Amino acid sequence: MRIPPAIRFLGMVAILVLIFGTCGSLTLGALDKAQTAAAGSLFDPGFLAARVGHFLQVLGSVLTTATDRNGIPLRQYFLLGLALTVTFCFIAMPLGIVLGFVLALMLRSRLRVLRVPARAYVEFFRNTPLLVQLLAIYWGLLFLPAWLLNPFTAGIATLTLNYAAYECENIRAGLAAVDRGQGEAAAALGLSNWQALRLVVVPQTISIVLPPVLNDFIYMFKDSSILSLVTIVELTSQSTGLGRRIPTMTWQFIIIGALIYLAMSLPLGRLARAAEARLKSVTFMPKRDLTLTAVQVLVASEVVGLVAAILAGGASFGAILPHVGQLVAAIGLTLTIMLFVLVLLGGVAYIPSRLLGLRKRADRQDRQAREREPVALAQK
Amino acid sequence: MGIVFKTLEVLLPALATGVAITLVSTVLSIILAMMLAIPAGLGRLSKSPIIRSISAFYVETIRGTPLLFQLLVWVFAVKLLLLVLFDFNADTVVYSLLTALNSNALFPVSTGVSGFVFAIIALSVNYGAYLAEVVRAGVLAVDQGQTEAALSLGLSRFQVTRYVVLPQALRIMIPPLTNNFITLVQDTSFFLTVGVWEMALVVQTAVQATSSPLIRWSLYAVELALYFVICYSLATISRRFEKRLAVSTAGAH
Repeated sequence: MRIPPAIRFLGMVAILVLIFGTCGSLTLGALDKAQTAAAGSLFDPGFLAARVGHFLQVLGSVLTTATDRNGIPLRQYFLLGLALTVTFCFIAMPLGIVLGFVLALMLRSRLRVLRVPARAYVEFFRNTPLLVQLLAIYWGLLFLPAWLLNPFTAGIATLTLNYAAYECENIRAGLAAVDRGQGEAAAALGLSNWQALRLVVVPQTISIVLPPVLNDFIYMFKDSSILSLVTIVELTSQSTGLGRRIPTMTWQFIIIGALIYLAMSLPLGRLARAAEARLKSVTFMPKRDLTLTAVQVLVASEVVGLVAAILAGGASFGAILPHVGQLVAAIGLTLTIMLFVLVLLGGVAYIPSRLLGLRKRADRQDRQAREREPVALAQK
Repeated sequence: MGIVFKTLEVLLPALATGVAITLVSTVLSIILAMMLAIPAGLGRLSKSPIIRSISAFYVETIRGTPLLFQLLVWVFAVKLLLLVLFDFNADTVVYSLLTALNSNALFPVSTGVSGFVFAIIALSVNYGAYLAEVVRAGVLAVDQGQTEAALSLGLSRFQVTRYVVLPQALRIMIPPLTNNFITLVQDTSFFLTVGVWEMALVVQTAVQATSSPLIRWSLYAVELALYFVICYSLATISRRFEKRLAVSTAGAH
């Protein structure tokens, strides 16, 4: 029996509300031991039902009319948090994809001067925590002027740099999956390297790369919660921070935050799975220029992020120019750090191995082992 | 340059403790997460719709929300809930456990352990869901014929899972499992938000105590290098292991 996803989602919401509601109604709202004893038992269904009912009532008021001490509607905080989360994801992800593509091309290059730094960069960013990268970029560069380094630019730079490493791996795998013969055929037809990439290889790569990239987008949606550590009050810190200001509603805030996250990430996950199924099928024959479409999608995403940033910062036309300026500053910061890291790590990885001649020997041994292996297996 | 080394030297004992706490929490979380992941992963393949929906609910809600969010919920809300409802205080529980083991001198009186306990729980519950997907994929990748053959030999369903399916699935699961363990090591850095003195918090405290960019950068460099060494060696071990397994499966035919 298949249950439709919408109904499954609603069921999930209902169960979550019930669980959290029970937790919340029991913890807070002037509950103490004496009161519990007077009301009967914690496990008395009537008592529980009354408390959960009260919880739901408060939840409803938080979603509609309740305000904080300054008269600001509580739901506005959640919208603000969501807008900030959306801002960072939609701005950082396309940048990450573009930089990841550049890194993937560097990894494919024939020149070791390009390959080694790119490999070092990818390994470094994949093997160190995102959170520490964020703190290192923000606290380590605090000596920069505030227009260049502030929580916004540091957040964009960290997410972009980190996801560039992950997207690079995705794109590299996608490029490798496209048959070698395709490139050779393009060369035989007289296309230049660039034309072959742009017209033949990349359009075929996109369908392979799209599902993992969508998955990574969901990851970024969740990972952007770490930005609360550099004072960006996005969805996670809104929903947990409000609870510290209004303790009686802690669990209501938690459930609203959780539901917003679920409402975003579950449909995206389904979209990724659907895209995977559709792109895998043999009947998939796009008529459009896929490379161009991809670039349009990336630019559109950037615009969505910028609009969300403007909405979060107060919707006025005067707010647009500073936001665009911030975006440019963030991109500049990202590129500078990336270049710095590439040179530094490239040097660390490249020069010693070159001096000792280790890399060459390892390469040779590896190749020999690979050549020997099939023979050894065949003999068995 | 001298002042940098001086700072690092002063910080060394705290940093060593931080590394130890990072490693201990990694190991504990891996064990707990696997204990959650195997039933949840197998539960998603169960015949009973109830078990299936319970494990799907667990996996989807956990995977749909950020780790930081869950961590804050566990440490700031669930902790309070358990205290109010059941008088459950992780500090006293751990203290009496250590007393029973004749080693309560180990108890960190100044900081307490309740943050640590709930942080470990949060991380394990989170990774339980991710690893459950790995388990499920691994079990699905084992050939259906294996199960059928084992059943026709008269093994019970439990025996089939325990002796036939899981050992083969484990082999398929090793690369994705190690990938998850690597991210788990990295995610222990989230503990700094709830005041567990692991590597990231030790370094962050030292960083905020100085104003010199040079010292800050060298502190971060040390920290990032430590994380890199741990994670990269895990990755290397996993790659070795994968290669050996590939060779041994090829030889088995």
